[in-house]
Amino acid sequence: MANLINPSGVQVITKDGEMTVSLKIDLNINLNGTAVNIPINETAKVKNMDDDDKVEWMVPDFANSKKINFGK
Amino acid sequence: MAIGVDCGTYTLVSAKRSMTGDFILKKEINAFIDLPLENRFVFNMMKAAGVPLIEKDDMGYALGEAAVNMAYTLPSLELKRPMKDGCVNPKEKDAFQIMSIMLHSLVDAPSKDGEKLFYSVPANAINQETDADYHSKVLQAIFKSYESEDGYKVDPKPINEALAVVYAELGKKAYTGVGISCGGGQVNVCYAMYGNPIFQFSIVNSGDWIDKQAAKACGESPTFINKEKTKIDLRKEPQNLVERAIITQYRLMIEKTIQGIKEGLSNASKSVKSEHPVDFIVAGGTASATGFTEIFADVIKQANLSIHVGDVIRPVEPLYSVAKGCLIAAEASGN
Repeated sequence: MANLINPSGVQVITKDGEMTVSLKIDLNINLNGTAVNIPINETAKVKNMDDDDKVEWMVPDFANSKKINFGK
Repeated sequence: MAIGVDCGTYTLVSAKRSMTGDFILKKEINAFIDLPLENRFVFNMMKAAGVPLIEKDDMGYALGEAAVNMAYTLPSLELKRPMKDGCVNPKEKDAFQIMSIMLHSLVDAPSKDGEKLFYSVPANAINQETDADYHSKVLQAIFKSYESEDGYKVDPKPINEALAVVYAELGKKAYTGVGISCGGGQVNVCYAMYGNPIFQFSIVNSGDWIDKQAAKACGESPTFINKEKTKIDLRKEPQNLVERAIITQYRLMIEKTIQGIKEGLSNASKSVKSEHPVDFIVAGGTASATGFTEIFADVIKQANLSIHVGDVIRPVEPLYSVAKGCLIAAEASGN
């Protein structure tokens, strides 16, 4: 019987015009009348986040600086 | 009037024109060290000694060459660098604000509102993931926030740093040839014809790489190697372990760079033919070492490149070529 499966966690990372979507889905599969709960949330990740993905690629705000004696 | 700025991984240089048409050049090192303000005595003494210092959020910072000298003398101090491999380092967001102060202070005041300012940017690297577009946007935001004491702002535009080398050094050859900028983080290459870029690319493998590799080889710090390498003649026999490590890494860097140039040219020049030998200008801080150009010329002439190599030329002031080229481009863009 068909069941609606709702993802339990969705993460969207956009960077350089590319989008990475990570979904967590819990599946309940009934084998021979016995309910077997198989959580596959980790394996469902499209791409593991590495350190580089944690970088925020935002251009910060800058203000006009007080000038110091710099350069010769 | 116009302004040129070389935003290098290791060195920042600004260029303006004097009333007599000469270049007015200013440079500083793109680095700083933290100075905790628990003991203000040290901070105040350094201030009195004329060291460029800033205070921000209860922290003091020594900037530029003074910071390098302190890190060289006291290896326990960590020299911080806002840029890495030719681009701003997105993991050093706090350093961006300090780089902004350094650039705002280095730029001479514009003579009118909206003065053209051309700043150097690298091409994306062919051997490593870099984000030159992000780098350019950060620098543009820094320059857009600039305002002189007279309330004048600048109109900032990016220019490829190797193309800037062509503008600075190949004016007498109709701005035609290959400009190479060997900086702290990258080697940038641009083949231009009549001032128009035909192709450009960069290779991550330059001055910082020499410092790191030579430091590993002889057990010294990269900051120490960085200072020592300015004293060496690459054509002479090394006299000690440090010199041997530096000369070896310079040669390896030149060989790797020319291999990268060969690959870059073979990919990029499929649609480009050159009937005449093409001159190569080798500029940048890393190319300033005595003997660099001679070794570079030897290796490149044996590399069997897809274009015929003409003269390999070292500018009179290799460290200033990019900033001069940025200024020339800003002047040519009209005001």
